Amino acid sequence: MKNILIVVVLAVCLMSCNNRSEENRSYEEIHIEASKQVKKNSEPQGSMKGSAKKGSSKGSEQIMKGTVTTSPVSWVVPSVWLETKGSGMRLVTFKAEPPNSIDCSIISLGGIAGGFEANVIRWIGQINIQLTGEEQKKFLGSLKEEKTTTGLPVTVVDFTDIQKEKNDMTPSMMAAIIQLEGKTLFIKMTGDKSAIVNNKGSFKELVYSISLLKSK
Amino acid sequence: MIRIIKNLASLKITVTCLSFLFILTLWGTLDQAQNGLYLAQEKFFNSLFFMIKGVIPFPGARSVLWVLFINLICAARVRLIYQWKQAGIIITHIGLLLFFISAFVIFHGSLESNITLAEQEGSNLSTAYHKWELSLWKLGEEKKQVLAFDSDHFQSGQKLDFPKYGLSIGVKKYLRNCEAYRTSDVEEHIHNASGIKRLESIDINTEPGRNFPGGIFEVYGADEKDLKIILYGGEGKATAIQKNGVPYVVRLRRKRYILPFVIKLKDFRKETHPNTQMARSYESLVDIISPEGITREVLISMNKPLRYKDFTLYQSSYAIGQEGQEFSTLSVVKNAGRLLPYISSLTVCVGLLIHLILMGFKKKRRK
Repeated sequence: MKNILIVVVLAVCLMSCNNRSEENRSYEEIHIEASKQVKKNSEPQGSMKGSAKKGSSKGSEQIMKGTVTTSPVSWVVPSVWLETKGSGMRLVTFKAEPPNSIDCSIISLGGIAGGFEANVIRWIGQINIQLTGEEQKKFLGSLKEEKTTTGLPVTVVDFTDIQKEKNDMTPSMMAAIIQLEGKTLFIKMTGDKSAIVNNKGSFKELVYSISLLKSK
Repeated sequence: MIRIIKNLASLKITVTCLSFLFILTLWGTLDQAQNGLYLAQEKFFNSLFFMIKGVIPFPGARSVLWVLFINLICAARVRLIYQWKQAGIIITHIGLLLFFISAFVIFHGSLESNITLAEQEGSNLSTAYHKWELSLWKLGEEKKQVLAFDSDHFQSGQKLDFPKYGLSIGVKKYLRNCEAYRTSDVEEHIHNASGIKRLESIDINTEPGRNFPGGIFEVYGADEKDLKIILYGGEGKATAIQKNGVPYVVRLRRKRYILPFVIKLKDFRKETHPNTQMARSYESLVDIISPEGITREVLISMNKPLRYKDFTLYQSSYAIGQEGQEFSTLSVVKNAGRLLPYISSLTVCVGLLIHLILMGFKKKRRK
Protein backbone atom coordinates (compact mmCIF):
# COMPACT_ATOMS: atom_id res chain seq x y z
CA MET A 1 0.00 0.00 0.00
CA LYS A 2 2.80 2.39 0.96
CA ASN A 3 4.59 1.62 -2.32
CA ILE A 4 1.43 2.36 -4.29
CA LEU A 5 1.10 5.68 -2.50
CA ILE A 6 4.66 6.59 -3.46
CA VAL A 7 4.04 5.65 -7.09
CA VAL A 8 0.92 7.87 -7.09
CA VAL A 9 2.92 10.78 -5.66
CA LEU A 10 5.64 10.29 -8.28
CA ALA A 11 3.02 10.22 -11.02
CA VAL A 12 1.53 13.49 -9.78
CA CYS A 13 5.03 14.98 -9.75
CA LEU A 14 5.67 14.01 -13.36
CA MET A 15 2.28 15.28 -14.55
CA SER A 16 2.91 18.60 -12.87
CA CYS A 17 6.16 19.27 -14.71
CA ASN A 18 4.44 21.35 -17.34
CA ASN A 19 4.32 25.00 -18.37
CA ARG A 20 2.27 27.32 -16.22
CA SER A 21 0.93 29.37 -19.06
CA GLU A 22 -2.67 29.15 -20.22
CA GLU A 23 -3.49 29.18 -23.89
CA ASN A 24 -6.96 30.33 -24.83
CA ARG A 25 -9.12 32.35 -22.45
CA SER A 26 -12.50 34.00 -22.48
CA TYR A 27 -13.63 36.58 -19.94
CA GLU A 28 -16.06 39.41 -19.44
CA GLU A 29 -14.47 42.82 -19.06
CA ILE A 30 -16.33 45.24 -16.79
CA HIS A 31 -15.16 48.85 -16.84
CA ILE A 32 -16.67 51.78 -14.99
CA GLU A 33 -15.71 55.05 -16.67
CA ALA A 34 -14.16 57.75 -14.52
CA SER A 35 -16.08 60.99 -14.16
CA LYS A 36 -14.53 63.68 -16.39
CA GLN A 37 -14.92 66.33 -13.67
CA VAL A 38 -11.68 67.31 -11.99
CA LYS A 39 -11.92 67.45 -8.20
CA LYS A 40 -12.39 71.01 -6.87
CA ASN A 41 -9.57 70.61 -4.37
CA SER A 42 -7.20 68.80 -6.77
CA GLU A 43 -3.61 70.04 -7.10
CA PRO A 44 -3.10 72.61 -9.85
CA GLN A 45 -0.71 71.62 -12.59
CA GLY A 46 2.04 74.04 -11.64
CA SER A 47 2.50 72.76 -8.12
CA MET A 48 2.01 69.53 -6.18
CA LYS A 49 2.05 70.47 -2.53
CA GLY A 50 0.38 68.99 0.55
CA SER A 51 -3.07 67.46 0.76
CA ALA A 52 -5.95 69.89 0.44
CA LYS A 53 -7.31 68.53 3.72
CA LYS A 54 -4.41 70.08 5.63
CA GLY A 55 -5.02 73.46 4.02
CA SER A 56 -3.28 74.83 0.92
CA SER A 57 0.11 76.45 1.10
CA LYS A 58 0.49 80.11 0.16
CA GLY A 59 1.85 79.16 -3.26
CA SER A 60 -1.17 76.96 -4.08
CA GLU A 61 -3.59 79.63 -2.88
CA GLN A 62 -1.99 82.21 -5.16
CA ILE A 63 -2.19 79.82 -8.12
CA MET A 64 -5.85 79.04 -7.50
CA LYS A 65 -6.83 82.69 -6.98
CA GLY A 66 -5.06 83.76 -10.13
CA THR A 67 -6.49 80.95 -12.20
CA VAL A 68 -9.03 82.19 -14.68
CA THR A 69 -11.84 80.34 -16.35
CA THR A 70 -12.38 82.95 -19.00
CA SER A 71 -9.67 83.36 -21.57
CA PRO A 72 -7.31 86.32 -21.13
CA VAL A 73 -5.73 85.63 -24.51
CA SER A 74 -6.62 84.97 -28.12
CA TRP A 75 -4.98 82.73 -30.69
CA VAL A 76 -5.16 81.52 -34.29
CA VAL A 77 -6.26 77.92 -34.69
CA PRO A 78 -3.95 75.91 -37.00
CA SER A 79 -5.93 74.82 -40.07
CA VAL A 80 -5.38 71.08 -39.51
CA TRP A 81 -6.47 71.12 -35.86
CA LEU A 82 -9.91 70.90 -34.33
CA GLU A 83 -10.66 73.31 -31.47
CA THR A 84 -12.95 72.39 -28.57
CA LYS A 85 -13.91 74.56 -25.64
CA GLY A 86 -12.01 73.94 -22.43
CA SER A 87 -13.28 73.80 -18.87
CA GLY A 88 -11.85 74.92 -15.55
CA MET A 89 -8.17 75.79 -15.90
CA ARG A 90 -8.11 74.55 -19.48
CA LEU A 91 -8.95 77.45 -21.76
CA VAL A 92 -9.14 75.38 -24.92
CA THR A 93 -8.24 71.96 -26.33
CA PHE A 94 -7.04 71.10 -29.82
CA LYS A 95 -6.91 67.74 -31.50
CA ALA A 96 -5.42 66.50 -34.74
CA GLU A 97 -6.81 63.65 -36.83
CA PRO A 98 -5.14 60.21 -36.98
CA PRO A 99 -2.58 58.95 -37.82
CA ASN A 100 -0.83 62.01 -36.33
CA SER A 101 -3.21 62.36 -33.38
CA ILE A 102 -2.16 64.83 -30.71
CA ASP A 103 -3.84 66.47 -27.77
CA CYS A 104 -2.97 70.14 -27.23
CA SER A 105 -4.31 72.45 -24.58
CA ILE A 106 -3.82 75.98 -23.29
CA ILE A 107 -3.94 76.25 -19.50
CA SER A 108 -3.85 79.45 -17.49
CA LEU A 109 -2.60 79.45 -13.90
CA GLY A 110 -2.02 82.33 -11.49
CA GLY A 111 1.43 83.50 -10.44
CA ILE A 112 4.56 81.70 -11.63
CA ALA A 113 2.78 78.35 -11.15
CA GLY A 114 5.78 76.47 -9.79
CA GLY A 115 8.40 78.11 -11.99
CA PHE A 116 9.81 77.31 -15.42
CA GLU A 117 12.48 74.76 -14.43
CA ALA A 118 10.26 72.77 -12.05
CA ASN A 119 7.59 72.37 -14.71
CA VAL A 120 10.06 71.23 -17.39
CA ILE A 121 11.61 68.69 -15.00
CA ARG A 122 8.14 67.41 -14.09
CA TRP A 123 7.24 67.00 -17.79
CA ILE A 124 10.50 65.09 -18.38
CA GLY A 125 9.38 62.65 -15.70
CA GLN A 126 5.84 62.45 -17.08
CA ILE A 127 7.05 61.12 -20.44
CA ASN A 128 9.61 58.81 -18.81
CA ILE A 129 12.75 60.42 -20.20
CA GLN A 130 15.81 59.30 -18.25
CA LEU A 131 18.46 62.01 -18.04
CA THR A 132 21.57 62.33 -15.91
CA GLY A 133 22.04 65.53 -13.91
CA GLU A 134 24.47 66.88 -16.52
CA GLU A 135 22.16 66.07 -19.43
CA GLN A 136 19.25 67.73 -17.67
CA LYS A 137 21.31 70.85 -16.99
CA LYS A 138 22.42 70.95 -20.64
CA PHE A 139 18.85 70.57 -21.89
CA LEU A 140 17.52 73.31 -19.62
CA GLY A 141 20.39 75.56 -20.66
CA SER A 142 19.55 75.07 -24.35
CA LEU A 143 16.03 76.49 -23.95
CA LYS A 144 15.87 80.13 -25.02
CA GLU A 145 13.19 82.74 -24.53
CA GLU A 146 11.60 84.04 -27.72
CA LYS A 147 8.75 86.44 -28.53
CA THR A 148 5.30 85.83 -29.99
CA THR A 149 4.11 87.97 -32.91
CA THR A 150 2.68 90.44 -30.39
CA GLY A 151 5.84 90.54 -28.25
CA LEU A 152 4.85 88.19 -25.41
CA PRO A 153 7.81 86.30 -23.90
CA VAL A 154 7.61 82.58 -24.69
CA THR A 155 9.91 79.58 -24.19
CA VAL A 156 9.24 76.56 -26.39
CA VAL A 157 10.33 73.17 -25.07
CA ASP A 158 10.71 70.42 -27.68
CA PHE A 159 11.16 67.07 -25.92
CA THR A 160 11.67 65.19 -29.21
CA ASP A 161 15.17 66.75 -29.24
CA ILE A 162 16.13 64.44 -26.36
CA GLN A 163 14.29 61.43 -27.79
CA LYS A 164 16.14 61.15 -31.09
CA GLU A 165 17.02 57.47 -30.53
CA LYS A 166 13.51 56.52 -29.49
CA ASN A 167 10.98 54.94 -31.84
CA ASP A 168 7.97 56.67 -33.42
CA MET A 169 5.48 55.40 -30.82
CA THR A 170 7.38 56.73 -27.80
CA PRO A 171 5.17 59.09 -25.76
CA SER A 172 6.41 62.61 -26.31
CA MET A 173 5.54 66.21 -25.75
CA MET A 174 6.09 69.75 -26.91
CA ALA A 175 5.29 72.61 -24.58
CA ALA A 176 5.50 76.36 -24.34
CA ILE A 177 5.39 78.66 -21.34
CA ILE A 178 4.28 82.29 -21.63
CA GLN A 179 4.81 84.42 -18.54
CA LEU A 180 2.21 87.16 -18.25
CA GLU A 181 1.63 89.63 -15.46
CA GLY A 182 0.16 87.74 -12.53
CA LYS A 183 -0.38 84.53 -14.49
CA THR A 184 1.36 81.86 -16.56
CA LEU A 185 0.14 80.23 -19.75
CA PHE A 186 1.06 76.62 -20.46
CA ILE A 187 0.59 75.30 -23.98
CA LYS A 188 1.12 71.53 -24.01
CA MET A 189 0.96 69.15 -26.93
CA THR A 190 1.13 65.42 -26.15
CA GLY A 191 1.13 62.36 -28.35
CA ASP A 192 3.57 59.84 -29.70
CA LYS A 193 6.90 61.06 -31.05
CA SER A 194 6.16 60.93 -34.76
CA ALA A 195 2.82 62.75 -34.24
CA ILE A 196 4.60 65.49 -32.27
CA VAL A 197 7.23 65.84 -34.98
CA ASN A 198 4.55 66.06 -37.68
CA ASN A 199 2.61 68.70 -35.73
CA LYS A 200 5.55 70.91 -34.74
CA GLY A 201 4.73 73.48 -37.37
CA SER A 202 1.09 73.76 -36.25
CA PHE A 203 2.15 73.99 -32.59
CA LYS A 204 4.54 76.84 -33.26
CA GLU A 205 1.90 78.54 -35.41
CA LEU A 206 -0.49 78.43 -32.43
CA VAL A 207 2.06 79.52 -29.84
CA TYR A 208 3.42 82.51 -31.77
CA SER A 209 -0.12 83.68 -32.57
CA ILE A 210 -1.10 84.05 -28.90
CA SER A 211 -1.89 87.61 -27.93
CA LEU A 212 -3.46 89.35 -24.96
CA LEU A 213 -7.12 90.27 -25.20
CA LYS A 214 -7.51 94.02 -24.80
CA SER A 215 -9.56 94.91 -21.67
CA LYS A 216 -12.70 96.93 -22.28
CA MET B 1 10.13 -2.00 -6.23
CA ILE B 2 11.53 -1.62 -2.72
CA ARG B 3 15.11 -1.59 -4.10
CA ILE B 4 14.21 1.31 -6.42
CA ILE B 5 12.71 3.23 -3.52
CA LYS B 6 15.80 2.50 -1.37
CA ASN B 7 18.07 3.83 -4.13
CA LEU B 8 15.91 6.92 -4.52
CA ALA B 9 16.13 7.48 -0.76
CA SER B 10 19.94 7.59 -0.85
CA LEU B 11 21.68 10.25 1.23
CA LYS B 12 24.06 10.84 -1.71
CA ILE B 13 21.11 12.19 -3.72
CA THR B 14 20.19 14.52 -0.84
CA VAL B 15 23.73 15.90 -0.57
CA THR B 16 24.06 16.27 -4.38
CA CYS B 17 20.76 18.15 -4.60
CA LEU B 18 21.70 20.46 -1.74
CA SER B 19 25.03 21.17 -3.48
CA PHE B 20 23.24 21.99 -6.71
CA LEU B 21 20.88 24.33 -4.84
CA PHE B 22 23.86 26.09 -3.29
CA ILE B 23 25.47 26.57 -6.73
CA LEU B 24 22.21 27.78 -8.28
CA THR B 25 21.56 30.24 -5.46
CA LEU B 26 25.07 31.69 -5.70
CA TRP B 27 25.10 31.79 -9.49
CA GLY B 28 21.59 33.22 -9.72
CA THR B 29 22.42 35.96 -7.21
CA LEU B 30 25.51 36.97 -9.18
CA ASP B 31 23.66 36.77 -12.50
CA GLN B 32 20.78 38.98 -11.39
CA ALA B 33 23.17 41.88 -10.83
CA GLN B 34 23.93 41.84 -14.57
CA ASN B 35 20.74 40.54 -16.17
CA GLY B 36 18.07 41.70 -13.77
CA LEU B 37 16.04 39.92 -11.15
CA TYR B 38 13.27 38.64 -13.40
CA LEU B 39 15.51 37.00 -16.04
CA ALA B 40 17.76 35.45 -13.39
CA GLN B 41 14.72 34.07 -11.58
CA GLU B 42 13.28 32.57 -14.78
CA LYS B 43 16.62 31.05 -15.81
CA PHE B 44 17.96 29.64 -12.54
CA PHE B 45 14.93 29.07 -10.33
CA ASN B 46 11.81 28.67 -12.48
CA SER B 47 13.28 26.50 -15.25
CA LEU B 48 13.76 22.74 -15.38
CA PHE B 49 17.01 23.07 -17.33
CA PHE B 50 19.05 25.85 -18.87
CA MET B 51 22.00 25.81 -21.25
CA ILE B 52 25.48 27.05 -20.38
CA LYS B 53 26.95 28.81 -23.42
CA GLY B 54 24.09 27.26 -25.40
CA VAL B 55 25.75 23.83 -25.28
CA ILE B 56 25.92 22.30 -21.81
CA PRO B 57 22.64 21.58 -20.04
CA PHE B 58 22.44 22.39 -16.34
CA PRO B 59 19.52 21.56 -14.05
CA GLY B 60 17.42 24.47 -12.86
CA ALA B 61 16.18 24.74 -9.26
CA ARG B 62 12.79 23.33 -10.32
CA SER B 63 14.33 19.98 -11.36
CA VAL B 64 16.60 19.84 -8.32
CA LEU B 65 13.70 20.47 -5.95
CA TRP B 66 11.62 17.77 -7.62
CA VAL B 67 14.46 15.24 -7.17
CA LEU B 68 14.89 16.35 -3.55
CA PHE B 69 11.15 16.00 -2.93
CA ILE B 70 11.10 12.46 -4.36
CA ASN B 71 14.22 11.67 -2.29
CA LEU B 72 12.46 12.91 0.85
CA ILE B 73 9.30 10.88 0.11
CA CYS B 74 11.35 7.71 -0.42
CA ALA B 75 13.41 8.41 2.72
CA ALA B 76 10.14 8.72 4.66
CA ARG B 77 9.24 5.27 3.33
CA VAL B 78 12.45 3.37 4.01
CA ARG B 79 14.56 5.29 6.55
CA LEU B 80 12.16 6.69 9.12
CA ILE B 81 11.36 4.46 12.10
CA TYR B 82 7.70 4.88 12.94
CA GLN B 83 7.78 4.75 16.77
CA TRP B 84 6.61 7.22 19.41
CA LYS B 85 10.16 7.99 20.48
CA GLN B 86 10.87 9.11 16.88
CA ALA B 87 7.80 11.40 16.80
CA GLY B 88 9.90 14.56 16.67
CA ILE B 89 11.88 13.43 13.63
CA ILE B 90 8.72 12.23 11.85
CA ILE B 91 6.93 15.56 12.44
CA THR B 92 10.03 17.51 11.28
CA HIS B 93 10.15 15.37 8.15
CA ILE B 94 6.46 16.04 7.50
CA GLY B 95 7.16 19.77 7.92
CA LEU B 96 9.93 19.58 5.29
CA LEU B 97 7.60 17.80 2.88
CA LEU B 98 5.01 20.51 3.52
CA PHE B 99 7.61 23.12 2.48
CA PHE B 100 7.89 21.42 -0.90
CA ILE B 101 4.12 21.14 -1.23
CA SER B 102 3.69 24.83 -0.40
CA ALA B 103 6.40 25.77 -2.95
CA PHE B 104 4.52 23.72 -5.55
CA VAL B 105 1.14 25.31 -4.72
CA ILE B 106 2.58 28.84 -4.71
CA PHE B 107 4.55 28.33 -7.93
CA HIS B 108 1.57 27.00 -9.85
CA GLY B 109 -1.19 28.94 -8.16
CA SER B 110 0.14 32.39 -7.36
CA LEU B 111 -0.19 35.43 -9.58
CA GLU B 112 1.12 38.97 -9.28
CA SER B 113 -0.45 41.79 -11.21
CA ASN B 114 -1.54 45.37 -10.72
CA ILE B 115 -4.49 47.65 -11.31
CA THR B 116 -4.36 51.40 -11.95
CA LEU B 117 -7.54 53.38 -11.53
CA ALA B 118 -8.44 57.04 -11.82
CA GLU B 119 -10.88 58.39 -9.26
CA GLN B 120 -14.41 57.10 -9.96
CA GLU B 121 -13.01 54.48 -12.33
CA GLY B 122 -13.67 50.80 -11.74
CA SER B 123 -12.70 47.46 -13.24
CA ASN B 124 -12.87 43.71 -12.67
CA LEU B 125 -9.48 43.04 -14.28
CA SER B 126 -5.91 43.35 -13.13
CA THR B 127 -2.94 43.68 -15.49
CA ALA B 128 0.14 41.45 -15.65
CA TYR B 129 3.56 43.01 -15.19
CA HIS B 130 5.40 41.07 -17.88
CA LYS B 131 2.99 38.87 -19.81
CA TRP B 132 1.08 39.85 -22.93
CA GLU B 133 -2.04 38.67 -24.71
CA LEU B 134 -3.65 39.07 -28.09
CA SER B 135 -7.27 39.86 -27.35
CA LEU B 136 -10.29 40.21 -29.58
CA TRP B 137 -13.79 41.42 -28.83
CA LYS B 138 -16.95 42.49 -30.61
CA LEU B 139 -17.87 46.17 -30.47
CA GLY B 140 -21.28 47.43 -29.52
CA GLU B 141 -22.28 44.57 -27.22
CA GLU B 142 -23.81 45.24 -23.82
CA LYS B 143 -21.34 42.88 -22.16
CA LYS B 144 -17.77 43.06 -23.42
CA GLN B 145 -16.75 39.44 -23.93
CA VAL B 146 -13.03 39.19 -24.61
CA LEU B 147 -11.30 36.19 -26.22
CA ALA B 148 -7.57 36.14 -25.58
CA PHE B 149 -4.45 34.12 -26.36
CA ASP B 150 -1.25 34.37 -24.32
CA SER B 151 1.31 35.75 -26.72
CA ASP B 152 4.51 34.80 -24.87
CA HIS B 153 4.91 31.59 -26.89
CA PHE B 154 3.70 32.81 -30.29
CA GLN B 155 5.53 31.22 -33.19
CA SER B 156 5.49 32.12 -36.88
CA GLY B 157 2.92 30.00 -38.68
CA GLN B 158 0.77 29.53 -35.57
CA LYS B 159 -2.97 29.93 -36.07
CA LEU B 160 -5.27 31.36 -33.39
CA ASP B 161 -8.90 30.34 -33.74
CA PHE B 162 -11.84 32.38 -32.51
CA PRO B 163 -14.67 29.95 -33.42
CA LYS B 164 -17.27 32.01 -31.54
CA TYR B 165 -16.83 34.82 -34.09
CA GLY B 166 -15.83 32.72 -37.09
CA LEU B 167 -12.43 34.42 -37.25
CA SER B 168 -8.86 33.14 -37.22
CA ILE B 169 -5.61 35.03 -36.88
CA GLY B 170 -2.38 33.66 -38.27
CA VAL B 171 0.94 34.73 -36.76
CA LYS B 172 3.24 35.83 -39.60
CA LYS B 173 5.98 37.33 -37.43
CA TYR B 174 6.22 37.92 -33.68
CA LEU B 175 8.89 39.96 -31.95
CA ARG B 176 9.27 39.89 -28.19
CA ASN B 177 10.71 43.38 -28.06
CA CYS B 178 10.55 45.82 -30.92
CA GLU B 179 10.20 49.40 -32.04
CA ALA B 180 7.41 50.67 -34.25
CA TYR B 181 7.74 53.08 -37.16
CA ARG B 182 5.24 54.88 -39.34
CA THR B 183 7.46 54.73 -42.41
CA SER B 184 8.47 51.77 -44.50
CA ASP B 185 10.51 51.24 -47.66
CA VAL B 186 8.26 48.35 -48.67
CA GLU B 187 4.92 49.18 -50.25
CA GLU B 188 2.60 46.78 -48.48
CA HIS B 189 -0.96 47.29 -47.34
CA ILE B 190 -0.83 46.59 -43.61
CA HIS B 191 -3.63 47.78 -41.41
CA ASN B 192 -2.92 49.40 -38.02
CA ALA B 193 -4.95 51.85 -35.91
CA SER B 194 -1.92 54.06 -35.13
CA GLY B 195 -0.49 54.17 -38.67
CA ILE B 196 2.38 51.78 -37.86
CA LYS B 197 3.92 50.33 -41.02
CA ARG B 198 7.06 48.61 -39.75
CA LEU B 199 8.45 46.84 -36.69
CA GLU B 200 12.15 46.50 -35.92
CA SER B 201 13.34 43.85 -33.49
CA ILE B 202 15.55 45.09 -30.61
CA ASP B 203 17.39 43.33 -27.78
CA ILE B 204 15.33 41.99 -24.91
CA ASN B 205 15.55 44.43 -22.02
CA THR B 206 16.75 43.05 -18.67
CA GLU B 207 13.83 44.89 -17.11
CA PRO B 208 10.98 42.87 -18.61
CA GLY B 209 8.43 45.65 -18.05
CA ARG B 210 10.30 47.70 -20.68
CA ASN B 211 9.85 45.12 -23.45
CA PHE B 212 7.13 45.94 -25.96
CA PRO B 213 6.26 43.06 -28.28
CA GLY B 214 4.77 43.39 -31.71
CA GLY B 215 3.80 41.25 -34.63
CA ILE B 216 2.41 40.98 -38.11
CA PHE B 217 -0.74 38.90 -38.34
CA GLU B 218 -3.10 37.74 -41.08
CA VAL B 219 -6.82 37.75 -40.38
CA TYR B 220 -8.97 35.00 -41.88
CA GLY B 221 -12.74 35.20 -42.12
CA ALA B 222 -12.92 39.01 -42.16
CA ASP B 223 -14.78 40.99 -44.85
CA GLU B 224 -11.45 42.10 -46.34
CA LYS B 225 -9.62 39.13 -47.84
CA ASP B 226 -5.91 38.63 -47.09
CA LEU B 227 -6.12 41.25 -44.36
CA LYS B 228 -2.73 41.88 -42.80
CA ILE B 229 -2.48 43.79 -39.54
CA ILE B 230 0.36 45.06 -37.34
CA LEU B 231 -0.15 44.98 -33.62
CA TYR B 232 2.28 46.70 -31.23
CA GLY B 233 2.24 46.47 -27.45
CA GLY B 234 3.29 50.09 -27.09
CA GLU B 235 0.25 51.54 -28.86
CA GLY B 236 -2.82 52.42 -26.86
CA LYS B 237 -5.29 51.70 -29.66
CA ALA B 238 -7.03 48.55 -30.84
CA THR B 239 -7.15 47.71 -34.55
CA ALA B 240 -10.63 47.35 -36.02
CA ILE B 241 -11.69 44.54 -38.36
CA GLN B 242 -15.07 43.73 -39.85
CA LYS B 243 -16.92 40.49 -40.41
CA ASN B 244 -20.27 40.58 -42.16
CA GLY B 245 -20.37 44.30 -41.44
CA VAL B 246 -20.00 43.72 -37.69
CA PRO B 247 -17.04 45.56 -36.11
CA TYR B 248 -14.50 43.72 -33.97
CA VAL B 249 -11.30 44.98 -32.41
CA VAL B 250 -8.04 43.16 -31.85
CA ARG B 251 -5.22 44.34 -29.65
CA LEU B 252 -1.86 43.23 -28.27
CA ARG B 253 -1.93 44.28 -24.63
CA ARG B 254 -0.63 43.25 -21.23
CA LYS B 255 -2.35 40.08 -20.02
CA ARG B 256 -5.49 40.61 -17.99
CA TYR B 257 -6.55 38.55 -14.96
CA ILE B 258 -10.12 38.31 -13.73
CA LEU B 259 -10.83 39.45 -10.22
CA PRO B 260 -13.78 37.90 -8.33
CA PHE B 261 -15.11 41.42 -7.72
CA VAL B 262 -15.31 44.86 -9.31
CA ILE B 263 -13.14 47.46 -7.63
CA LYS B 264 -13.95 51.16 -7.97
CA LEU B 265 -11.64 53.92 -6.73
CA LYS B 266 -13.79 56.45 -4.87
CA ASP B 267 -11.07 58.71 -3.53
CA PHE B 268 -7.28 58.83 -3.52
CA ARG B 269 -5.56 60.72 -0.70
CA LYS B 270 -1.93 61.70 -0.47
CA GLU B 271 0.06 63.39 2.28
CA THR B 272 3.49 64.86 1.64
CA HIS B 273 6.30 65.65 4.04
CA PRO B 274 6.07 69.31 5.04
CA ASN B 275 7.63 71.74 2.52
CA THR B 276 8.55 68.93 0.13
CA GLN B 277 6.90 67.08 -2.72
CA MET B 278 7.90 63.69 -1.28
CA ALA B 279 4.90 61.53 -0.43
CA ARG B 280 4.63 60.62 3.24
CA SER B 281 1.66 58.32 2.86
CA TYR B 282 -1.10 57.61 0.41
CA GLU B 283 -4.30 55.63 0.57
CA SER B 284 -7.19 54.61 -1.64
CA LEU B 285 -10.83 54.54 -0.62
CA VAL B 286 -12.44 51.87 -2.79
CA ASP B 287 -15.76 50.16 -3.29
CA ILE B 288 -15.59 46.38 -3.62
CA ILE B 289 -18.63 45.13 -5.53
CA SER B 290 -19.15 41.36 -5.18
CA PRO B 291 -20.75 39.24 -7.95
CA GLU B 292 -23.96 39.24 -5.84
CA GLY B 293 -24.04 43.03 -6.12
CA ILE B 294 -23.11 43.76 -2.50
CA THR B 295 -20.93 46.87 -2.20
CA ARG B 296 -18.41 47.31 0.60
CA GLU B 297 -16.31 50.41 1.20
CA VAL B 298 -12.68 49.67 2.12
CA LEU B 299 -9.65 51.87 2.79
CA ILE B 300 -6.41 50.47 1.35
CA SER B 301 -3.32 52.18 2.71
CA MET B 302 0.39 51.52 2.68
CA ASN B 303 0.36 49.15 5.66
CA LYS B 304 -3.21 47.95 5.44
CA PRO B 305 -3.87 45.80 2.39
CA LEU B 306 -7.28 44.50 1.39
CA ARG B 307 -7.75 40.74 1.63
CA TYR B 308 -10.58 39.17 -0.34
CA LYS B 309 -10.67 35.37 -0.70
CA ASP B 310 -7.27 34.41 -2.17
CA PHE B 311 -6.49 37.97 -3.26
CA THR B 312 -4.51 40.61 -1.43
CA LEU B 313 -4.47 44.20 -2.74
CA TYR B 314 -1.67 46.50 -1.61
CA GLN B 315 -1.33 50.25 -2.13
CA SER B 316 1.60 50.30 -4.52
CA SER B 317 2.01 53.75 -6.07
CA TYR B 318 0.20 56.72 -7.56
CA ALA B 319 0.38 59.21 -10.40
CA ILE B 320 -0.98 62.63 -11.16
CA GLY B 321 -2.33 63.01 -14.69
CA GLN B 322 -1.81 65.96 -16.95
CA GLU B 323 -5.18 67.47 -16.03
CA GLY B 324 -4.56 67.02 -12.32
CA GLN B 325 -6.54 63.79 -12.03
CA GLU B 326 -5.19 61.32 -9.50
CA PHE B 327 -4.44 57.70 -10.32
CA SER B 328 -3.88 54.98 -7.75
CA THR B 329 -1.94 51.78 -8.53
CA LEU B 330 -2.71 48.74 -6.42
CA SER B 331 -0.66 45.57 -6.64
CA VAL B 332 -2.78 42.44 -6.72
CA VAL B 333 -1.38 39.19 -5.36
CA LYS B 334 -3.29 35.94 -5.72
CA ASN B 335 -1.80 33.28 -3.49
CA ALA B 336 -3.99 30.34 -2.53
CA GLY B 337 -1.14 28.81 -0.56
CA ARG B 338 -0.09 31.87 1.39
CA LEU B 339 -0.57 30.14 4.77
CA LEU B 340 1.28 26.95 3.80
CA PRO B 341 4.85 28.25 4.46
CA TYR B 342 3.75 29.33 7.94
CA ILE B 343 2.18 25.92 8.60
CA SER B 344 5.33 24.18 7.31
CA SER B 345 7.64 26.30 9.48
CA LEU B 346 5.45 25.70 12.53
CA THR B 347 5.42 21.94 11.87
CA VAL B 348 9.22 21.82 11.61
CA CYS B 349 9.60 23.89 14.81
CA VAL B 350 7.16 21.67 16.69
CA GLY B 351 8.93 18.55 15.41
CA LEU B 352 12.34 19.82 16.50
CA LEU B 353 10.97 20.87 19.88
CA ILE B 354 9.39 17.46 20.48
CA HIS B 355 12.63 15.76 19.43
CA LEU B 356 14.65 17.92 21.85
CA ILE B 357 12.24 17.16 24.70
CA LEU B 358 12.33 13.41 23.96
CA MET B 359 16.16 13.48 23.79
CA GLY B 360 16.16 15.28 27.14
CA PHE B 361 14.00 12.58 28.71
CA LYS B 362 16.20 9.87 27.17
CA LYS B 363 19.34 11.41 28.75
CA LYS B 364 17.66 11.65 32.16
CA ARG B 365 16.65 7.98 32.06
CA ARG B 366 20.24 6.95 31.20
CA LYS B 367 21.55 8.89 34.22
